[in-house]
Amino acid sequence: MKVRIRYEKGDEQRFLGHLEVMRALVMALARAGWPVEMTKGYTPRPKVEMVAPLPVGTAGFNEVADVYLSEDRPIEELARSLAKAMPPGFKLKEVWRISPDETALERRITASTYRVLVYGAEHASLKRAVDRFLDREEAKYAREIPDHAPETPKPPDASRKSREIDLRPFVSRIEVTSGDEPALSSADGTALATSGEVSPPLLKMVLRHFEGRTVRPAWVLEYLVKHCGLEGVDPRESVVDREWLDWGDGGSHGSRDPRKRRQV
Amino acid sequence: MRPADIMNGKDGCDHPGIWSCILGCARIQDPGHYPSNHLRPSEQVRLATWKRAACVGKLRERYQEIISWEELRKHLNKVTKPARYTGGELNSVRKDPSSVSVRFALVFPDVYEVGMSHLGSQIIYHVLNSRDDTACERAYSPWPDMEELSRRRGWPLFTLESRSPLNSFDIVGFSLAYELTYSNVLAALDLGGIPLFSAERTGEDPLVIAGGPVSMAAEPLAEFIDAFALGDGEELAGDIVDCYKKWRASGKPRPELLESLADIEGVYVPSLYDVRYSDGFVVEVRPKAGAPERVRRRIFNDLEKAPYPERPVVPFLEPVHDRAMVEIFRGCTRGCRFCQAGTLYRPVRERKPETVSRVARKILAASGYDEVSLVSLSSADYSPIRQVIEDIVAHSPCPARVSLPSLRVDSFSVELSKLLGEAGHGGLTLAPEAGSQRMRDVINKNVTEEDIMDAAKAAFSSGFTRIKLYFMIGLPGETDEDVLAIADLAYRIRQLGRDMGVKPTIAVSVSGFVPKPHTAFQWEPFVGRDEIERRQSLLYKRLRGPGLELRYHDSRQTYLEAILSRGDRRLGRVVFEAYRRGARFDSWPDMLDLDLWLTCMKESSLEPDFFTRERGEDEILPWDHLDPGVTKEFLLAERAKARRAEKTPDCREAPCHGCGVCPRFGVAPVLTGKDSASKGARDPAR
Repeated sequence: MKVRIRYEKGDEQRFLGHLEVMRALVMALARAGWPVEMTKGYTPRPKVEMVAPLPVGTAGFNEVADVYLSEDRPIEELARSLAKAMPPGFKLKEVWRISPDETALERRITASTYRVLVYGAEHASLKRAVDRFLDREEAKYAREIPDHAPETPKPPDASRKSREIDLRPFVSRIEVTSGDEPALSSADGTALATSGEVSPPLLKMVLRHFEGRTVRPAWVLEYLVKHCGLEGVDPRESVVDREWLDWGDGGSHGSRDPRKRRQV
Repeated sequence: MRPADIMNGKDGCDHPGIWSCILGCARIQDPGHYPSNHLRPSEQVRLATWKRAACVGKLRERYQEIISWEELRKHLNKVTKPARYTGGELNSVRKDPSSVSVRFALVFPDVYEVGMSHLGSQIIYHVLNSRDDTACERAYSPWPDMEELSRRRGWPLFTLESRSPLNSFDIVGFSLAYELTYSNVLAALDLGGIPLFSAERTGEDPLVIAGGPVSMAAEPLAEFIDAFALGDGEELAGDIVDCYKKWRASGKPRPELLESLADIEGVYVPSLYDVRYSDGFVVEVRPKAGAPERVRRRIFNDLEKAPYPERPVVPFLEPVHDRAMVEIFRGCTRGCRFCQAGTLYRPVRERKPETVSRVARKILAASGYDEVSLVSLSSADYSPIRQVIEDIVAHSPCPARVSLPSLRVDSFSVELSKLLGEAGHGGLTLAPEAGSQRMRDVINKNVTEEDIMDAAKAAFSSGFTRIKLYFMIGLPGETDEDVLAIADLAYRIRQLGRDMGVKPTIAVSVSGFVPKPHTAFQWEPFVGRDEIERRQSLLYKRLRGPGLELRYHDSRQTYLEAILSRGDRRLGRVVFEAYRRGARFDSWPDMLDLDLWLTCMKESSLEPDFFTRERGEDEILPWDHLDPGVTKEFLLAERAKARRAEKTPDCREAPCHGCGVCPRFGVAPVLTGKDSASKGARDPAR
């Protein structure tokens, strides 16, 4: 039985990588008494498809994963037991049955909506940089392959120092807002709330996906710093949350507006 | 050694505390001030890091605050694996600090993924958090990139649960699992805002304690740790907390706390013992203020009643050992003469098979692991092992595998691992420890050539193709023939496999032998780093060919371990200096800078050879005042037997050998599953 899970990777667990999130989901399903089907072969792995996985440091309020379960049981039962079994920092939002031969969701994702807290920037200067960005026809960004920690082996393509990519076609919307807008997180609307001092400006971005390819908000921010005159900002210090994933036909479940969705 | 003297003498610095000297002293920023001619370029880089962070020491008061999540979240993207520092794991316990009377920080001085695999820490965490009056939180050593970021940002080392700095806790407890974490212990204290030297701590500072097997001979840390907890922690941890509460309520000064701690069975307060040296030799260890002559290790005899973490903390980051753990018994009856754990966990105490299966089921349900490891020092010795495995597999809430951490070298163990479904994966690990029969008799590894070949035969016929063999070199009385016998054994096993029609891989893994305190070999010399390397290359030349693999331990680590594990208090100065010059994570081969350690030894006028040499049998050993229960006479008798290559049988089967633990500490082996009343193990009378 194949199910699609919509869940929240909350603020406090934003530093997990997607493999860790996957492990957390698999273990939560095991605790709920719904073991994940394993792949056949020499080293069996759980059959979980993480859709558009998030990088380390990014929280996601409406993430999606497709999971093959080894037993077929009523979906309501799963929803109940899994909601209770989710680890701290995670929240189950919705789970529904899908056809096992449905095309991979990854390919059908059309856009991601992000909100980025830009520390170190002033509202006006961020707005100027964004306007400059929007005026461009193309935004060539040389993506640097990060230095690997001495403890981890270098990947085989580490010799490639950078890869150039045009960010502009991926950016469908980008705008600066005040930081007061409530987040889409249902866990706590305070995920991005800051205490005391003046809150940094908030950048809203809708980034397109083309057949599974997309760009990261941090790259766009880095481009703003390098080429659009945004000053005083270290892109690594910005706080990125993905609010929503869009897929073209509305998916196999109800309303596309997340606020109108049925909650579990 | 008076800490202030070192500081003043070395650096001419007038700050009284280490804290200000390492970090806050303005003069260290003067490039000419530090004796940089002693430093290798890599160390200079590390020092430069500290200079940038020089203000940290001055911010000590700020440390009483909890680091805000906002601050952490903003900067953690700059380090590798930031999830090491964010906590929030399933089953971790967050208590409101104001609702408890004692706050305890449990520190594992290695990186998070290693610390989270450590069963002992999970047990202590569970024991302490079961108390309503205590909140136990965890902290792990920051990886150097995080240490640098912390120093630059002015962050202290903080616990995962409440992000409070170590110095805001009442008690800070270290888990000492191996000697090469000493430098990390100092780093954790320093980053936590706690004065490094016990003598410099005041009533404001936390009580600093340490437990774990290494505590039984951690004299190099004697000046940094206020009290060591020796032996089983199940009751001891609570006793220490109770004692602390009582002392605090009394309002007495700090020395009184240490004196009352020393009254608890199993607590060793190093500052209450004066050590006198002559020519470098320890000639006297004299207790003060009513401290016991010898400190007994604490034993929790009835494991059935012992609290066990049935809801273990489940890390998000994959730990080194990614599985649930159930301790099926503590202690070991085999009596291998090199093995420190074999002495320090006596007597053997088994859990009932029903308890093991019940606990395993509970842990699986509470964690979601798909594998449970039945841990002990020799799990195949557990008589109802087969029954337990079948029971767990049949009744677990989710499909789960069972694994055993250590296999005995015999065909029964191979059958077991076949039962565990490991055969298809090809890997089987056996530990004959020595290549020749003579050597195996010397170390009392009761394994014959026949056992090994039987095990290999059983392995090949059950579908294993890869056999991993563990050996030690540098054992007492070892000759080149004994070393080469390792290669011969590997060849014979390969041949056996070929004769049986499989294409085997024999992976030989060789580590250097380090004589450990409280073992029959505690007097034996360490053969030396060059000699270890010579024997490694001897083996390397012999052991080549298709289907043969050879791996060995870093001889530098073996060497440093050999120095530290039998060291006395004077090595504290060396650990301190090494820490100060940037030694961290010495147990990680690419992090260890052996030259730095040797330089520090030289500057402290200590000879490494003095610590690795053969000890005289009438000598006072630096750990003689710590009583593991096993008598020195027994260890000496075992040593003499080793020299004659004479075996001592397993104390499960043979009559009592009189090691001393049971009669002296009023305990007895606990064996289940079979009627053990007639066994010698039940009869401690000689």
